[in-house]
Amino acid sequence: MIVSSQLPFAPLALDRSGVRHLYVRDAAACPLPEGCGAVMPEVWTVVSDATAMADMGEGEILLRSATALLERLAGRLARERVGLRLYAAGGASFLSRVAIVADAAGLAVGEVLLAPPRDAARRVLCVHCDTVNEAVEGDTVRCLGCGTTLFVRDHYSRGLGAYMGVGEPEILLQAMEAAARHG
Amino acid sequence: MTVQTSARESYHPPYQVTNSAETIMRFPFPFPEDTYMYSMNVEPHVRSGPVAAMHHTFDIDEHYVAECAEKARILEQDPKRCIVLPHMREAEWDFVEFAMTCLSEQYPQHFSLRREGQDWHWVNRLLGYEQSFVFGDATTLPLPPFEYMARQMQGDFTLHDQREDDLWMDGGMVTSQADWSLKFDLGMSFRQWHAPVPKAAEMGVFDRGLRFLLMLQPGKPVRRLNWTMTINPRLDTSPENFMVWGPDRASVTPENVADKVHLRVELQTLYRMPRSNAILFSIRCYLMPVRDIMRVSKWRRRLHRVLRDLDPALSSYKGLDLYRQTVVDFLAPYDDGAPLSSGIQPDADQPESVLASVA
Repeated sequence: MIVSSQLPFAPLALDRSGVRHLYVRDAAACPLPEGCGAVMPEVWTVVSDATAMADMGEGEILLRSATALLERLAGRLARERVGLRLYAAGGASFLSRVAIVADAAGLAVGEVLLAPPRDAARRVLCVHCDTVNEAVEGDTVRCLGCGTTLFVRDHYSRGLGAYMGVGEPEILLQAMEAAARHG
Repeated sequence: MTVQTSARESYHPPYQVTNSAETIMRFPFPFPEDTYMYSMNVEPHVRSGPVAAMHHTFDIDEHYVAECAEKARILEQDPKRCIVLPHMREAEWDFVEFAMTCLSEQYPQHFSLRREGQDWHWVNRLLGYEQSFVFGDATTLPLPPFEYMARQMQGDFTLHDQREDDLWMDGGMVTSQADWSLKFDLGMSFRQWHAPVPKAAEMGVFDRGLRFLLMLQPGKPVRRLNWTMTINPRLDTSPENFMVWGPDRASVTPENVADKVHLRVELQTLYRMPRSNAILFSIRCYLMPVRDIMRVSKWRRRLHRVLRDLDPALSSYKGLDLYRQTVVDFLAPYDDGAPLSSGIQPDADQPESVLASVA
């Protein structure tokens, strides 16, 4: 088995064992889950537009931002009953935040389905100062909180919705470089 | 074991920790063979074993007062070292009962517990605490129950909820850890929090370990030893403070290696709690400088062989790369290559004098 603390991403397909289906996405470009047709999920889409109004038109609710969507999702899940299947697609940060909201609402493992992220921008928690650095593209980031250059460890906390970022003291970097040269 | 009743020692700069002859001989040296690779190496935690550190449920040694003071200092700096999720309240009381019972029965000279129904009276003579409280009523203790008791014990503790055929790290107090973070791993499953460990997963160690632990019975605790190395007698080698202690790894020289480099051993014990069905994981850390390990002829020779032949992936994961060769070079002249007995027992009654004492 693959040992990883990362979220279980898989291409989305409609789960017919569900009674109600809700699909949330952070961009209209994300495709509907496989198998939609006779059964259509309710769709919530982030449009990044301050004039969007969150009412049902064409079976789709348009939200102004990911934050607005997640707040609405928390309220919705608090009222939901067994039988809902929640599908999510979008960037890695968005999916992390969806998982936190779903976990807080007590959804079980099989009730939340996450598409493979459409970007590699990860949330990174600075283990030294607790600042969450959003949308980190590479393997390092300068922490917004304490200025440390963080190396992103391949260790993900579902509860925090973030990867662990740990600094490397300058003297160790130099010593390791020297050791590599003299190998 | 004689316990010092005042904290003269310091586990942070300026460091000041010394080990008596008794402490050296009771050290849980982690290598039963001349080579090391991961294994489950789990055995029943009975009150006996090859070294005295294994002879009590929770080992109290001469560093007790200083380690409790260090723990309090770290918690003051970083309260997130102690977190317990709300659904673990019953496990907290399980822990209080188990710890107080074991300590008062096994160290009556240091701890007492009087129980009259739910009215309990606890005395910790080493730290000078005396507390009457109602068992099960958290408002009658000065701190939340788990925190109150875990502060009075050496080592780290985590609480694991069992559900969906997995174990979830849903609480703990972690101040003397080998580079892992409770606030980060909180809420993770068994495989998730082990994910950073190289090699062991492909060996199936975690799958077997989890299956074994899911069946752990009350009253039948188990134990294993784990190890790494630490520069200076520093208990808090957390990722939180890596920028503070990490540079020490570049400070080892042939001149200071015997005093700077410590073998860090975790005596890990696991208990099924009777009411909550949670698992208590106790991680009791021992730090022993190379200078003191040198004083047991079997241990100094075996340590040399294990470090010399260590798998590079493990060396790297444990953070030994910058100074491992310095330690091996230092130990090599003291290893004649003679066969050593299997097992961790020291095969001696007293430490030898090998190196001149520190100037």
